[in-house]
This record gives sequence, C-alpha cells and structure tokens, in this order.
Amino acid sequence: MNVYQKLIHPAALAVFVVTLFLPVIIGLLVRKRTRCQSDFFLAGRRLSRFSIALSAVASGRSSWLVLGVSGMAYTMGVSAVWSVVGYITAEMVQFVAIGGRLRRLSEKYDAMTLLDFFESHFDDRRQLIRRVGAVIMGIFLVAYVAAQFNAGANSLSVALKLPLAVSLLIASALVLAYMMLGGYLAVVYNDVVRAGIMIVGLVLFPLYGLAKLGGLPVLLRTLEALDPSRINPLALSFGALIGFLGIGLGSPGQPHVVVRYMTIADPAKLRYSAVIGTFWNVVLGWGAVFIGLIGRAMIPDVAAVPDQNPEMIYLVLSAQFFSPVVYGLLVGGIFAAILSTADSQLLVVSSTLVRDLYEKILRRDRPLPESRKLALCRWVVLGSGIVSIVLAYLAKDLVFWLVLFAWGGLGASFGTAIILSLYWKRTTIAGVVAGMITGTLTTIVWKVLLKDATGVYELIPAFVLALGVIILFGVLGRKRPISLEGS
Amino acid sequence: MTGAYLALIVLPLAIIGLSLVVFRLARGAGSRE
Repeated sequence: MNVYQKLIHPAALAVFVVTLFLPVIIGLLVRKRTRCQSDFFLAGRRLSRFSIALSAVASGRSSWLVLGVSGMAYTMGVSAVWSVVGYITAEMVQFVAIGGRLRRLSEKYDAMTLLDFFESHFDDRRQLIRRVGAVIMGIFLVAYVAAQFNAGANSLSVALKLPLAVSLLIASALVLAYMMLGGYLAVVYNDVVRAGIMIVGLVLFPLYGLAKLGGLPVLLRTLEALDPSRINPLALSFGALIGFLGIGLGSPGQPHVVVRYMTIADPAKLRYSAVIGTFWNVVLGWGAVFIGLIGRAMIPDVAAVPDQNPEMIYLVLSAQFFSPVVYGLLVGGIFAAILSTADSQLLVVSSTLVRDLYEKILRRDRPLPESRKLALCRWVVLGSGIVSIVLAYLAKDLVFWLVLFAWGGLGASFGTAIILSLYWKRTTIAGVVAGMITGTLTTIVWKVLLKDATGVYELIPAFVLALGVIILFGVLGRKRPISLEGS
Repeated sequence: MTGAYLALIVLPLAIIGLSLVVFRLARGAGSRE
C-alpha cells in the first residue's frame, strides 16, 4: 500500500505543491531586506518574540515528532508522553535562562555565531574553542542536514513516484533557493509558516479523530480493552523514563536552535517567547501522541499498517480521514517538519564556514570587505548544500551513523559549555575545549559500547562527564575569573 | 484510567502553567538586572 496514493487527486497534489513552493516565494519577498552579513545570519537582530518562539519550535522539531512520536504512541500507548516532556521543559527554561544572557553578550561582542561568542567571552586569542568547536559542529550538522535531505527526498520519492536522485535535487533545491535569497530571515519566516502547517496537522487531526471515535473516554476504554498497559503512563522501564526525560539535556546544545535567541530585537521579550514556544510545543507534542493513540484504537493490528511500520500511522489516518485538500496540507506538514530543521542547520554550517573558519581563522589578518561578505555567504550556502546533497546520496550509511550521535554529541559538548560560560565565572578555555571533546567522545563510546549493556541513554553520562570536566578545569586552572557581564 | 487522564490532560496544562511561572520569574530577574 502506498500511503501517499491519495496525492494522485489534483486538489491534494495542488495543496501539497503549494506547501513545497511557498518558502521560495517568502525568500523572494524578504530578499531585499537581506543587505549585509549580519542580516544574512542574524536578520540584523530585529526579530519579534513570536517569530523567535515559533521558529525555535519548528526548527527544533523534525519528522521525529510527526512520524516518530506518533509511532511511539501507537506502540507504547500513553507512556509515550514522556518522550516530549524533557525537551519541552528544557526549551521553556532555556529561552530565558540562556537566551537573555546570550543575546545581550553576543551583541556586546558583535558575535554572529556561537563560536564568536565563546572566543570573545574568554578572550581566546589562540582560537582553540573556535577551531575545536567548528570541527565538532561541522561534522554533526553536515550529517544532520544530509540526513534531513535524505528523509525529505525519500518521502517525496514515494509520494510523487519520482527517482530518489530527482527527489533529492528537488527537496534540496527548494531549500537552497530561499536560503540564498533571504538567508536567516527567509529561514525564520518559513519556520513560522511551517510551524503553522504542523500545528494545523497536529491539532486538527486529534480533534477529528477523537470526535470520530466518540471522545477521550471511548478512546481510553478501547485502548484498555486491547491492552491495559496502553493507558498506563508509567508502563515503561525506569531507564526508558530517564532516557526520555534526558532528551531535554540535548536542547541547550543545538546550535541551530540556540542561535535564534541571539536574534530577537529585545532580549527582555524572550520571556514571552518562552510562553508562546511552550504552548505550541505542548500542542504539537501531545497532538502527535494523540494521533498514535487514535491510530491504535482504529487499527489495532500493526500488520494492517504499511510495512508494519507504526511510524506510518500519521499518513495512513490522514488518507482515511480527510478530504484531498486537507490531506495535501497534512502531507505538506511532514515536509515542513523535515525542511524547517534542515535549513536552520545548513545556515549554521554556512556561518561556521564563512565566519568561523574563513573570516576569523584563514583571513584573520586581512579582513574581508563588507561588500564581498554577502555574496560569499550566498555561495557558501550553495556549496555546503551541494556537499550535503552528495553525502545524502553517496554516503548514506556514514550520514545515518553520524546522525545517531548528533543530538547527544551536540547537546553534551555545546550545552554544557554554554551553560557554564554564562553562569560560572571560573570556566576556562581549556575546560570548554576539554568538555567539548569529552562530550563528543563519551556520546560515541557510550552508544557503541555501553548503551545496550546499561540501558542508559548516552547523552546523560556524556552531559555529566563534560560538565564535570569543565568544572574540574575551572577549579584547578582559573586564576582570574571571567566577567559574566562581558569583557 | 486516572493516570491516563493525568498524563493526557493535566500534565500538558501543568507544563503550560509552569511556563507562566518561568515568565513571572524572568520578569523579576530582568528588573533586578
């Protein structure tokens, strides 16, 4: 069964294609507002609390939410809610706890990237943090982008019956076009639109499903009759619960999400973003859980789901429930989730190449004229996009292997460094570098060698060890405390 | 059944409520800074 077969309907196809091409139109509209490098990477630090909130929500959520969480709820039942609690709570707190300070200091330092911030904050003249950080960020984020392109291309290939290579070119060309036109502003406005599409899907869907079933009590009774553990929120092991909540530890270290805080016009408004972002994160998270539960009540036997894959439940129910127009929009929601993450990550990769490596290391003594910077940014977006496309097509296995470690690796290496840099005066350059390396290596080693034996999610030991290493270096090495208000 | 209602209705509302607490605390911290 092809879960996309309803796209044959002209109305469904038309709506779906509009959701694919709308971002390019947005890119064209904001093109003239992107006049310099600061506009290209930070939208001139003039974004509203709403744009920041919805953009952080959309870029932080990939197809894992729409397909993965609904699939988990189909398999596990109500206990799948814990998979969304950790990151929602972490992101709520970090809007204000990390966002405010990072925004104020990054403007003070004229920092465009996270690594710019670290270098100025610690007066790192040997550029150790920038060099090590760029390598870790580059590897994980390029793999992330390639994996997102691959996921988008795979879905597009099945949906429109196109060869994978053609789908890959279409999916990535659509992203690269508006990114080159409008840079970060185009990315953020598209995130807002895509968050809207995801919200429509993940709100409309559960409401319609519940109404069709006869309400929440009927849903729960049906699930209980199938298996009483499906309605028990604690029907999971302690290790799994801690692992789910531990997902949140990765949030402060995702550069493509954290960089958003640096771009709000007024840092005092980030507390509004915390409420707006949390509200929609909750709506999206619980929407995905409800879809999985409704799916299990309606299709109790997983053998009736295509490929016996619970992650297909969103698409199966979309095709069953809705008119072609709504179906086209709901399928567009999956691509919205995938591409809104890919574009944000690609922009961080580009800023790392242009700003952190080329401008600040290779041309450190020969500053680039401002007139050439914008063009360079655009070409680097295209170049890094092409590298990601090639990797997505030719080195799929390597990409998916690296992506297994990406959330944990970035979370442990950058999350700990950001938190302690903002809140602990004794944090040192050596500590940050050692913490980044420890976080990355522990994530990889634990996942490969110890995860199966211990049942503990790799991010938890990696985060704790990286934190411990930074503190150890601070206690032993720092003679003169850094200023938390900016040097 | 009660646990399911708590997880599906009360927990999300509690998280949204917590965000309002964070909002209030951040306003207090902001005025001190």
